[in-house]
Amino acid sequence: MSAENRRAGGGEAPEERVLADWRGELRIRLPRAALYLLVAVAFYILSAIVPGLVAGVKLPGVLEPFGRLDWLLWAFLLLIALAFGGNAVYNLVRALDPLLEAMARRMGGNVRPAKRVARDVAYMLLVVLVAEALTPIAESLGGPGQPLKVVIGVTTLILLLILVYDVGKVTYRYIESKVELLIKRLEKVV
Amino acid sequence: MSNAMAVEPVKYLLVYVLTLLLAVSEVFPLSVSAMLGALLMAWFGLNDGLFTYEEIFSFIDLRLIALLIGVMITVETVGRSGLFRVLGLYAVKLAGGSPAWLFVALSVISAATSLFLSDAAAVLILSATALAISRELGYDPTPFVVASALMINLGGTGTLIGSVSNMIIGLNAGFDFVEFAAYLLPCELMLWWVTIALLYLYYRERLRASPRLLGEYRVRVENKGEVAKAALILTVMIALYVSSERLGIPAEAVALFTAVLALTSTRYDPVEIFERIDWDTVFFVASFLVLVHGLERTGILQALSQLIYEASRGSLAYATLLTLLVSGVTSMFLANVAVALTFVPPLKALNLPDKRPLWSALVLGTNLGGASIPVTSVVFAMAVGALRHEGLRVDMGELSKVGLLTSLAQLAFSALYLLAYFKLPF
Repeated sequence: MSAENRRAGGGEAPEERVLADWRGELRIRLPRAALYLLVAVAFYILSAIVPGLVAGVKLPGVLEPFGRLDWLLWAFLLLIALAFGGNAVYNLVRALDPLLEAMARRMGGNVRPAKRVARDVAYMLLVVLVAEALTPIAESLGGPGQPLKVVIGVTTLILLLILVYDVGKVTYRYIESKVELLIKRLEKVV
Repeated sequence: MSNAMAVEPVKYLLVYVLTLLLAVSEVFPLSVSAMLGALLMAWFGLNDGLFTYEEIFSFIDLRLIALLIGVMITVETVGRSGLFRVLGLYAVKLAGGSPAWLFVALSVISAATSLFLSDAAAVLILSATALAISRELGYDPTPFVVASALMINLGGTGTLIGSVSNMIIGLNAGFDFVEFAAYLLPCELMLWWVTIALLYLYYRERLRASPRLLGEYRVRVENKGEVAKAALILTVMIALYVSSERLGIPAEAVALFTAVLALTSTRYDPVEIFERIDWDTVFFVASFLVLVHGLERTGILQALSQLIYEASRGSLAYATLLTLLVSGVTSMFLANVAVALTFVPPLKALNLPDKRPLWSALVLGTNLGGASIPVTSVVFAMAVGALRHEGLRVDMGELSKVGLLTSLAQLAFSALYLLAYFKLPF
């Protein structure tokens, strides 16, 4: 966010600012995530095709399976695909982070880390149990119940992913702050 | 319980855990958390054929609810008269301005007040009294307010109507007022002095201010008629509870009678009194009963009972100590009403000839674990709030240390008391 933008957003309500931040992040991160994902898929496809072209070629003096050129190529291309895939996931998470943060705050996330984790776990249980309670209703509807069951399942999965992400983030931030505190103390001692 | 094996108990256990988590993390108030849990329990139970629709309502113990509401109405009416404030002020007068004696007097008055008032109301009255006195005399208010909160939590441990958890346990154990007091009041009275001694030792440096003379200090009673009526109602209530067994009147009937007497003999607006009743606790208890009885039908609580039996190797002494320890520690983190309601079915199912020590251990555990940590204890949190409101810096670490130290000492003393009182062999 530029300084001008920050100044312009200075008088906005916190939620509007969160939305503006999110739009900005989306504009930058989504194309990146899409491109990285595309490259990752391309390398994955290459990892399935290219090793076949050099099948049977062995490197002298190298232990199995590292001596097989097809295996080496497959591992090399897969590693590249994984690296790009990881980058795509990272950009996607960064793009969604402001929105998830706003959601967590709405659910009462502006509390101590331990309480926030406890709340997230409670929400996870609630989501799972409500889905479990709704499933028999969907089943009793017969034909239209099937897509409803899918909707319940997908919604549950998305909500669980969001909550797991929030637990991870809160725990990471807490541990990070403690580690930084420890480093500062060690620096003082040294 | 033929359905117990047919259902998957995991989801029922998850409903129970969810209710506790929602309450502990303060997503919803206690009552709403329990109502949500009860709703899910009822839905799953009905779908799985674990119980019928009619049975759900039979899970709610109406005698217990009547006892709760009756006591709450009486306490609210009596509390309005200012009787307990007047008693607090007389304690100051009696202490004669010595900080050490004032500390002892306020601690005793706090515990005694809590025998009749709800913990929250008692903390409000006694914290305000302690703060006003220490401000006037120039003493450090922290020892007085902290001691007051801890003694309020302790007060009422030995009587059937002293706390909500006591009413739950007492009714389920089949104890009347006198029997309950016979087992537990001696322990409570001894714990008063153990706790005061411990707290005095901890705060002795901060209580070394020079005594101030209170010769001209006068206790002003604003509403003498109402104070006298409140004292009379309390006397009638205690007399009825004490003789309830002989008269053949159940505890909940005494509670409702005293409530009607309090409402008709005072001039307070009943609608205001009803509004001030702790409905959160009433709805929590009613809903949690559905949750616990639902869980009981799955066979989980029987398994817990079996676990206690096996862990104690059939020994009543071990089972008593285990009940005291587990209920005490869990009450440090969870609402003691929830702990009491959860422990009642497994203790009922235990295959032991004499369960009086177990019920007594449960009473002591649920009461004494309640004020260990300022973050999870309502009484402690209110005392901290009062100190902060006064502009004082509150060290939560130090308060946790005091709370934990006191609770552990109280639990250890209670263990010795139970072993000695019931002459439990290992």
